[in-house]
Amino acid sequence: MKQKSSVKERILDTASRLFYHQGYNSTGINQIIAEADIAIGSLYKHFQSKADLLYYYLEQEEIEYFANLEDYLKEEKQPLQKLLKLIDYRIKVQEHSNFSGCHFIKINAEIGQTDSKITQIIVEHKQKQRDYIASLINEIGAIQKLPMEKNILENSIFLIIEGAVVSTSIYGNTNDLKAVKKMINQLF
Amino acid sequence: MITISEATINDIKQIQNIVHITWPITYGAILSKEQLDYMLDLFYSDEALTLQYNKKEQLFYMIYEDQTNNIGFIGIEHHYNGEAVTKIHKIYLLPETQGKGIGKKVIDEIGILALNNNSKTLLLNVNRFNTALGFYKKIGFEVKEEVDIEIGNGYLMEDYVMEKPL
Repeated sequence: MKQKSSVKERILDTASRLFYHQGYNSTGINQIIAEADIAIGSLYKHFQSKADLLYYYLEQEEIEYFANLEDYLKEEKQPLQKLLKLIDYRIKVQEHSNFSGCHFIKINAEIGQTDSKITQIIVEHKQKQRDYIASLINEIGAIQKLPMEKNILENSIFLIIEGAVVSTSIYGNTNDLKAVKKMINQLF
Repeated sequence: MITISEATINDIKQIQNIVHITWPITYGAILSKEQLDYMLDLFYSDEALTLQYNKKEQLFYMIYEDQTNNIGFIGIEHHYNGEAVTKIHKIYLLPETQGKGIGKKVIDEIGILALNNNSKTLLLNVNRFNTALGFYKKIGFEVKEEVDIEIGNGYLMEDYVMEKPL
């Protein structure tokens, strides 16, 4: 039986699914209210506009991304293993979403620099991912030699993972993310 | 008499015992409890120590008094950064043995190992607020520079880099 959820949750879940898989620009308010099975008045009671829904969607994704990541890594003690498991986490998310890519990169491709609030949310999310990797590399560097300068290593690993996530949506598989794991194993 | 001998993988437990005694005394007043626990886990958990031991980037030696009584350990790396330098990564002596000139003898032993590996300099990092700073100065180390090292989760190691010519 389907769990009973609030109208607001239903709107947000539906909008999130459509924005992610169908695209923000291709999704109209009418489709959201039809698929969420609510009245248009209910939608505007909770959200001012479609753009407002988009902010909520990205904020929700941001919270979920890091909460689930923390949860996924919490048993792991060794920093290098944590870094490898971070890639496992992204593999898992991509397999789960049928290789649909990164929520934030997709919205950036659609909206990009035209909405400064959206740009800011995306930039902050990517910065947080970058910082997370930097922190793990600091931990690794505390107990073993790093193969290159710390900040070069942080940037390289962040960018390679991001590229491999984009690649999942091109090829419909996670081979490149798995290749990144092999590369990191060789690097250290 | 003080002797040192290369540690085996079985010495890991004893190394952990030593740091769990010495760290709260050395760093209790310098670092927050959270940072101290974080660092003990980062450097001295079973996984972290096994990894450091197996990588052989630094070599671990156990320090003995009268051949059998273990009183401390060191972790040292010759040819540090490809130079004629031996870096002392770790050096810990049990508190009851301190103040008897044992530390000086251990540094002398490290000096012999370093010379055997063609090093011309001993190098170490010490926390800027660690009381051992005075000891290192007394036996000929000089402060070379000040460094802040990020070790993850927002924590910093605030160190002096010290060196002593051999």
